[in-house]
Amino acid sequence: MPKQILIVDDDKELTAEITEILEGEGFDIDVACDGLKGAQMAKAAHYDVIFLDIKMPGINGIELLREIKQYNHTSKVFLVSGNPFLEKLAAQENLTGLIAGLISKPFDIEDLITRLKSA
Amino acid sequence: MEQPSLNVLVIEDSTADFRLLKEQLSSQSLVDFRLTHAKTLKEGLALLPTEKIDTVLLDLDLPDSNRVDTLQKVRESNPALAVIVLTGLASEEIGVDALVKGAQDYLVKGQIQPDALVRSIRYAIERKKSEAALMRVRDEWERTFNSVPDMIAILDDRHNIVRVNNSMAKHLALKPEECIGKPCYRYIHGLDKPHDPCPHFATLRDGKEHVQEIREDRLGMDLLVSTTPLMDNSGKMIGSVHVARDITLHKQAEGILKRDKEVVEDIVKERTKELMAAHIELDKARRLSDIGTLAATVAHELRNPLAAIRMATYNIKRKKKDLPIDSHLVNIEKKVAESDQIINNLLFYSRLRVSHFEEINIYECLNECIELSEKQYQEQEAVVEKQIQSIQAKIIHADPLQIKEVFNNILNNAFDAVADRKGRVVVKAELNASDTLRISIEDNGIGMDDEQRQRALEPFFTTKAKGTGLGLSVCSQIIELHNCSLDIASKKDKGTTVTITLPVKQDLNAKTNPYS
Repeated sequence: MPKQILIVDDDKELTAEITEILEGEGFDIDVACDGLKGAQMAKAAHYDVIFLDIKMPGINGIELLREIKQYNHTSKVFLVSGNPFLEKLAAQENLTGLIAGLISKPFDIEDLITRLKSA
Repeated sequence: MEQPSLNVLVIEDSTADFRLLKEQLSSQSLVDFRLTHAKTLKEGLALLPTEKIDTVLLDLDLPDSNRVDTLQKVRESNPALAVIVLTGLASEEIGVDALVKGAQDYLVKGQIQPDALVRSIRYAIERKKSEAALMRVRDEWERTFNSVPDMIAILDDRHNIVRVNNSMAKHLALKPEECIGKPCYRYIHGLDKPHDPCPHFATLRDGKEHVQEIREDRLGMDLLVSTTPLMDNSGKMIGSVHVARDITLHKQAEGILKRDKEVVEDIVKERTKELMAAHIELDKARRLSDIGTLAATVAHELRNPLAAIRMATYNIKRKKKDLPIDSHLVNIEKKVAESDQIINNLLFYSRLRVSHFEEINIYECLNECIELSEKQYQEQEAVVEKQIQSIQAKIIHADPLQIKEVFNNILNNAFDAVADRKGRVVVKAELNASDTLRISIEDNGIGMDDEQRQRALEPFFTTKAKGTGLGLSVCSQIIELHNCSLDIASKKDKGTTVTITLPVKQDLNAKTNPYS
């Protein structure tokens, strides 16, 4: 059974492109276009991997991560951001125990695929 | 009108002579002479303190005293008394001698006329009064002269001391009379000739008052010396009054004040400099923080579209295996990477304040950066030569993000520099004895002239057609945060070598988060 992946990001073009790439690699992709929808979808179904963009209107990625982690301990959550100081931010917010990794935009596509396959 | 009276004591052993005198004095009517007779000196001296005596008529040859002592004893007994000496016919020179010794007049016995006698007595009394007044004035002047704390010397026109006051004598460790006739330059200044410039000399030359500050080490004193011309009655200058005032304390206070003023001025200058520097720094920080806020926003906003562009390109490439289109897609990918680097630099430049040191494998870090650049510039076909084996497995303390940023920027510059020619990039790394690493990145590219090289680290300075001019600024800031050095050697059209010297160990104590 292919890996179930949820992508939560408010950039529609970006999610369209990434969905196509990852489906091409054999993953099952669901997309939520904001934090609120992401929260609902993460609750409604189980995903192997969840991508959370940090900067989103409404609920941001970090808030969503904390919410998801209250009831879901098995999904591997990656935080995604254009902020180059993502690691510092994660350390500052004490997120290291909650996340599977950090992914910087713009994605290194090959690296992204490798990490997803091993996740 | 009442007749004025004068009390006259006659000390005369001859009763006959006394009677004669008494007769002569009573024969005139202008003054009422009251005569008292003493036959011996002893008798006379006994009367002097008790009786009110205006004048003494004194015979020097008395039975109880010799000629030499008689006058002196009377004068000592009452110095204010007018004394007229009576001498014998054959000894006029004795009378003259008595005048020298303080008598007011002398009369030769046997030649005394009544009116001359009266005149002599009255003159003697008046002369004595004038003398006393003169003495008083002289004493007063001397007391004043000697009580002045300033050192006063009266000097003649050949620099000899005529007179000094007590203060001057005291400072010269001499008695006032010992100074007289001595050359002032020798006794005051310890010199063989007048010192130059000498205010006394100046006064002698132009007849004017001169004032001068003189440091006299012999006396250990700073002196304010004034010389005022001294004239004789005909108006001819005969010397000067040389007044020296001790201003040592004043000078010391002045010196301290001057030093203090200089110190204060220095402090003010220093503080002003610091303040200006702080002001400039603050201004820069404010500007940077504006840039920082802007850069952070730009980065966040730009990275999403960049990510979408990159992935869209990837998808087109996958779907359409078409070589002519592929080259355009490669260009898009390359430009996305470049844009990302520009964003990185902007962010680093504007937000860099501290480093977070951790243990990193510097060899891997450097190698990774070289490979990234090679990949990014692969169509350039530059030759990359790595001489970095000697630092393999070397662990150093550094901020990995920051140090990669440095390598990336310098490597990208090197590749850009060799873009239009048969390029060669040499990366060398070696361990120094002093626990530092030396990494150099050398290219044979377009190089820089002196002016460009000097400005290379300035923010926003660039020689590239497209560039933010922040790459090396970022590097230099990171280098500074790592306490290391960055050296650029370059020759126009020959190439550039950038050398970084990195300490192996850093203070690992975490600093405040610079990114908050």
